[in-house]
Amino acid sequence: MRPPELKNWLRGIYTPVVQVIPTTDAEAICLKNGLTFAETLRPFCNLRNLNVPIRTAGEHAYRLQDFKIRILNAKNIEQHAVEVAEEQLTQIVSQAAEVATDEGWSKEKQIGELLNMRRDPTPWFTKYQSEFLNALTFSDHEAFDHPVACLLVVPSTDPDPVKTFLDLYSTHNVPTLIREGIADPQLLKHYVLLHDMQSDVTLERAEQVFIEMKSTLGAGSCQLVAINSRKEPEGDSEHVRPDLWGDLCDPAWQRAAHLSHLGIDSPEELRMGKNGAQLTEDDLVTLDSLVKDFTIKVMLPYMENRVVSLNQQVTDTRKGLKNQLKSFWGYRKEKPKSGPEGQDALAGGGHYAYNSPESQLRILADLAFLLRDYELALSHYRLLAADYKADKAWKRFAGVQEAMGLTLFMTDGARREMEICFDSAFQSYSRCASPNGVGQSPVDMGMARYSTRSMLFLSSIFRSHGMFRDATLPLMRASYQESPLRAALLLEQSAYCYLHSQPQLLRKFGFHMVLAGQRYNSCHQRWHAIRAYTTVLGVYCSKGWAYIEEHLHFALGRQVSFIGDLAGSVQYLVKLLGACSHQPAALQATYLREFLYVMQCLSEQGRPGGDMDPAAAAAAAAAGAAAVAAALPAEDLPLPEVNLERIHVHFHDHRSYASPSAVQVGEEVWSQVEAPVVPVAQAGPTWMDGNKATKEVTNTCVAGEEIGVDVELCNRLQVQIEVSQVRLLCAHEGRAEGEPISDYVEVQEEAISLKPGESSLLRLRLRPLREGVLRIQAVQWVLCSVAPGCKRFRQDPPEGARPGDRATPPHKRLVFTVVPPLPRVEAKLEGLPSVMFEGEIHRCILELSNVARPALQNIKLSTTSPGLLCGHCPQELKGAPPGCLEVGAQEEVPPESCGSLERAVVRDPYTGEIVPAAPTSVPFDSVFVFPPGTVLEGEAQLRWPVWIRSGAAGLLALNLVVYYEPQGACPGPIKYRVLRMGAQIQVNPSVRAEAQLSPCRGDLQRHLLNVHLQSLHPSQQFRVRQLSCLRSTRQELWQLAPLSSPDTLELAPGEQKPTPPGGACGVPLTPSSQSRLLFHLTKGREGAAAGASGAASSLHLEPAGSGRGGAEDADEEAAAAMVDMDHWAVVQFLRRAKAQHLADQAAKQRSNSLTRRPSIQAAGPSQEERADREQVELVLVWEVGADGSAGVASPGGERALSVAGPARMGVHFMHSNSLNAEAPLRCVLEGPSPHRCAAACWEARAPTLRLRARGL
Amino acid sequence: MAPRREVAESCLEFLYIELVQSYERKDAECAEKGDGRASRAALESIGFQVGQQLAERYTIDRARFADHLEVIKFICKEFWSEIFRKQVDHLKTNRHRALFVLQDDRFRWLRHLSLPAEQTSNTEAVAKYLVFPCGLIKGALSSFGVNCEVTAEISEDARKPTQCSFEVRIK
Amino acid sequence: MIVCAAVVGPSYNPLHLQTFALDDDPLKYHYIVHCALDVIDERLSPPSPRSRGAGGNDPCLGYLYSTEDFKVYGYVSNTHVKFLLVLDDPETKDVRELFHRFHSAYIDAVSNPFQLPGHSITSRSFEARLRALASS
Repeated sequence: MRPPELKNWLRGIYTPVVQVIPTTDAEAICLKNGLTFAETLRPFCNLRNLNVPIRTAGEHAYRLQDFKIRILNAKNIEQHAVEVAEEQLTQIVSQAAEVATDEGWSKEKQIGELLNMRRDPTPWFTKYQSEFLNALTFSDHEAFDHPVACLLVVPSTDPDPVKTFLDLYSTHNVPTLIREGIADPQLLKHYVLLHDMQSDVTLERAEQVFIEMKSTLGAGSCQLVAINSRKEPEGDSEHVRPDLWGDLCDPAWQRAAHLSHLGIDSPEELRMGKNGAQLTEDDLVTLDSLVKDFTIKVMLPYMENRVVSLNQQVTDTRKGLKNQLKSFWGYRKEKPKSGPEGQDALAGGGHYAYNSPESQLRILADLAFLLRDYELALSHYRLLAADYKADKAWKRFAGVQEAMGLTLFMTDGARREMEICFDSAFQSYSRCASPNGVGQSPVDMGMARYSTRSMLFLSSIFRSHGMFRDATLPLMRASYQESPLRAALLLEQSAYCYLHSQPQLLRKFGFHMVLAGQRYNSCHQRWHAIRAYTTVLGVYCSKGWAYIEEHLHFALGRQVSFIGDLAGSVQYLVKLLGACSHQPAALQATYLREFLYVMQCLSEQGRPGGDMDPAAAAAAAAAGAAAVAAALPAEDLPLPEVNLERIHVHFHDHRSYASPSAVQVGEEVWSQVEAPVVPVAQAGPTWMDGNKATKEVTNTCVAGEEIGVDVELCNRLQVQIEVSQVRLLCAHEGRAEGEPISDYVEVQEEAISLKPGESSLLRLRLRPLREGVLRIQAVQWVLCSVAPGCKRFRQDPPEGARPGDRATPPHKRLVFTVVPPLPRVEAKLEGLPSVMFEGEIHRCILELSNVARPALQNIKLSTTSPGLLCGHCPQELKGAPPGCLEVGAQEEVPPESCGSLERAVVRDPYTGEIVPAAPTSVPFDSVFVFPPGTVLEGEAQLRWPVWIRSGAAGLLALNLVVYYEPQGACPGPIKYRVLRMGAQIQVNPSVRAEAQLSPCRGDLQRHLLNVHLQSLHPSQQFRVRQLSCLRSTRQELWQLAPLSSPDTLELAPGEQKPTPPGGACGVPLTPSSQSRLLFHLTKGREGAAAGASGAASSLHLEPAGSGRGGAEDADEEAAAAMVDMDHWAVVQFLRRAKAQHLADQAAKQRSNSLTRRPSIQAAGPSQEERADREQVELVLVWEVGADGSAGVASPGGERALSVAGPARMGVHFMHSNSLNAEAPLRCVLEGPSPHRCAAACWEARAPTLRLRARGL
Repeated sequence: MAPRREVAESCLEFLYIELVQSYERKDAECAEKGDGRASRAALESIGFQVGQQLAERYTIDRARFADHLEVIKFICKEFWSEIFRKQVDHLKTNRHRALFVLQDDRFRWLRHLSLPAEQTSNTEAVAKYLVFPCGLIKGALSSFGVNCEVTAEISEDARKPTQCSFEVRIK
Repeated sequence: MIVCAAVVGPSYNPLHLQTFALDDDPLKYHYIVHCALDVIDERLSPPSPRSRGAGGNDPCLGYLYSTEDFKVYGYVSNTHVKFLLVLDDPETKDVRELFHRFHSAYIDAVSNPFQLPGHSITSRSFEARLRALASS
């Protein structure tokens, strides 16, 4: 409001009060119209364009253009009880809320929206304000509302109107203010004779009565009014008059009070027809003229005179030097301190009778104010203020200050002074209120209300001047000491003041709005609270003020849920879950609980309590789910977080893995292993898809086989959360409408509980059932079995990746081409030891089982590890090693049932012709082809022997690939499959054996074989079992014979001691000891010696005590116990070992050639002549004895050992030095260990000497 | 406030030279991958952050700047002398204040660079040592709320090898 | 004493807020500090004329506004970083000196290479220094 409007408004509020005292009959007449007499007159109380001259104390007259009076029933001229009034006010606010809800008020407003908000954002406040002021009228400390005049109404039917008139004005009928002697009882009395046209009394009769009453009561103060002049039956509809009375009527309870006072019982049945049904236009005109004439001709003059006379009186007592001095000296006549001291005293003002000079003064001033002679009013207020101050009558003082403030505003006086006035008014009002606070007792409440009123005036004045900044302060001050509801309203107002002030103070606006919201909240005005909060969301949100946002969202979530809008509340609560990681766990828990609770309610909405038939229950559940989905799209649930980067897809296309460890082995390793068996043309189905027209790259998987997707869920909260029904959401292209997806894909559900801050990897599984294209689109879950969540996977390749194929690696690809079912082999190696000894030979069983239905064929094995050897035929499974390796153990099997070991030969599964295999670096036949016609039916098993010989000490990695093809023609891109098996074996050191040949002194045919044994294992005992000499490259066979002379010596580390005779044969190797065996090696003499066979001549080494030179004696059983050097497995292993050995030597040569000394270079021959030089190849067979605990055992014990248990046996391959003269010298050069060098030198001396002799 | 801690300038120079070198090496590696100019951006961004931090530090308790010119002056005087122990020698601005040229005749960080004999024009070799300072200036300015582009130029004539000028173009 | 100290970034985003009161419900202080930004805005605009000396360009804005039981003081660095102190005692000590220490603590904090510019500061040493500041 601009100042003029505000002034008008104030004038409208401060108007003289006219009291009405009707007789019961008179009121009855009026009630025909459903109105009391006072109400009947109300529409005409607002007088315009009067132009009445007024002359008060001043010399000059001024003219009133418009005037307004208040016509009230006597009963209603009193202040309502505080509680009642408050009740009324609260009503207004609540109603406003209900109205407001219709417009979309509770939605978040953007700041811009707030700034150019045209309409008044708080329409109800104006209503509230006026109602509030209204409730404060008729106070005992101001005279504005003291009745000025009094209308006495008597019907024309009255037998003796004059008498009635005179009786009518009795204490019984005057308002309490007058009865208590606060207001002046001598009012202007005006006599109205009310004539009812519908009564049987004629108008003439009435006029006669009127004449006589004029004669007695005085012409000027009498008036005759005729109403109800409607003849025709009421309620016909030809003339429709707008209801003039609408909201001018008293509230029902006031009217009831009035009527009951008159002795008319409750007005309900009297309210017939619409207001003023019986009144014709002329009636209205008469009523209007009644009010007008009364006001202009009677009341205003009376007021003028009153002012003049009072003014005169005051001037006599107070004005003029003498009086001022008096008052200056504080000498004033004692006030009559009558009346009860109680409340007034407590209220901080003495009781002033109406006739006390102060009251008179106040009346005068207020009259002047009502007559708009503000100068006069102001001057008197000034006087009055001084007096009350002197009396410490704070309430009255405050009232005067307030009035002064208003007057100053009306006269556009000094703004500062006005401010001070309102200020002191506020303070002194508050001073009256008991110090300890806000409206406990009604009195305090009352006082607080007055002080609030003064602040309201002040702020609205500021606002009218456009000083919004200043307008906020009074509002704030008032709000501090007010009841929550009013505080809320005030805060809201001040907030809007901040919004409109220049420059805009958005943040302050927000802050005060939030405060208001809290107040509203505390007095259960939920709608208003929500409105306040939502209004400011725009101010705070997405600016990084996490705490505030959170507070707002939580409050909103709560309130909105309270008013039943669960969906809305979810919207707010879910925002909390995403962004409360900085809060303590307890608070997070609260948020979560709240959220889950609301979700719960939401899902149970519309579900009747108690039990119902399942169908209905299902329907309700579905409805609930729908409601939940509508409220919160599953994608929006931020808990738990899904890490899209960590997704890993596990599936079987043409490749499958036997064990997780096999997966760890790099793809390049596998491709190398597969190379010999896999057709080069087919690098893999994904590659083939890449060539197809469709650009999309898909993985290939087989119907009925499981796909696993690793998804990482992490819980950012410090609260444990339960996640259940975690499942993959997928679409199957080519699924007909209506068919359930479950016919195509079978999805497993997982459940997990995430600890605070935990993030865990979850393997989600699904199994495609029919071929087609399968897309894994998202992961779904249910949080704490209430809130469904969902996270979509990225389908398109991430940024930066080149378009086309290879954009996403297969293990991240989520699109699958499902091909029809194929056989699938799962395999395991039975009896595979985890620990082996260096050179140990072991047999275990490869068990292939076809887990799928279709049969498979054309099985091949491929490996790159030399230690792995696939058995020829199942018969090798008979017996246990080493027995099965012994001579005669190997039985004949028809070749067709034998598999063949071959170099890589690849048969293209499409065309069937041989294609060149990929070149491999494998130096041996690495592919084993199962016997032709080996077919593995569905769910069938196949056991096959596999030989393993551990190589050098360390970790032995066995990589084995099983290749197979589905039997018969198979559609789909997969023509073959491979199973990748990987195993790792710890290999411990066992025995090191080196052999040296030296020409035998005296016999050129014989040679001395010196086998040097060393047990490398710290605790394990070994027993050397057999020594064989393989047929040499020149097909010569050497005979082995034990050396029968005491030149076997055992070199324990440290000292030397001679071994007992025969020690050469019984050869236990105690842990970490060394020993040396000496043999004679004789050329030729086929078949003469024991153990001679096709490939090698072997010598069984008997333990001591079983006779010396045991070879000859124990011929048969020795031969039986001999390991068969012709056994193909042994042969293979030896071949490989030899290859290995040569490779090593070559490598060593290369490295030595760099460091070799020239002199020796001269002596030693060059590489190529060495190649063909003859060497003797020896094989040493040892057994694992008892473990280290039985260190040195008795011979018998060892015998026992040798037979006991499944013995473990190892085979060592040795190259001796060759037989040429300078061999020892080379031996020196080649000897890896200094110890051997020493020994070799000692051995070598003789031949070199002899050579020299020859040279001579 | 804690006493100012200082460091030997030689250390700084070694560090700085090594910094540039290492990023250059990185470039050489990246060159075949295609993004050969990565180091320029990296160096500039490092300079940017350092500039921001120094700006904060050197203006503590200093009256707020009223406009861009004041900021530039601060850069030329206090900022420069804090870092390079001398002020900028010439400041050229054009009429409508969108362009400033800061010229330093003896740029401190170029003092100890000497060119191989066969190399006549130093611009190529030296340019990379001015990327960091550009970032430095840019960072400082931006933290004062002046968004700008900074480019450096080295004087062509061989007599003044350490003369260079920074062009600040305010957006 | 100081009940709350806050650093607000150039774009009015909170960089750090620390409370020292016993009943520290940080929320209240967030609101108060956020409100104070309005006043700071007012003080900073219109851009004060190029008057040297401790004129309108003094980084220390001093008293900003007061709530029911707090007084808020402000300081704006050249880099448009805003420092706010919420005091609960009526008598105003030398906030200038306080702000100087506050600012230098901040400078050391942001000089940490691991401190991302423009992100909220969660450095323990920084918090410790502010605590010292508050208890002094």
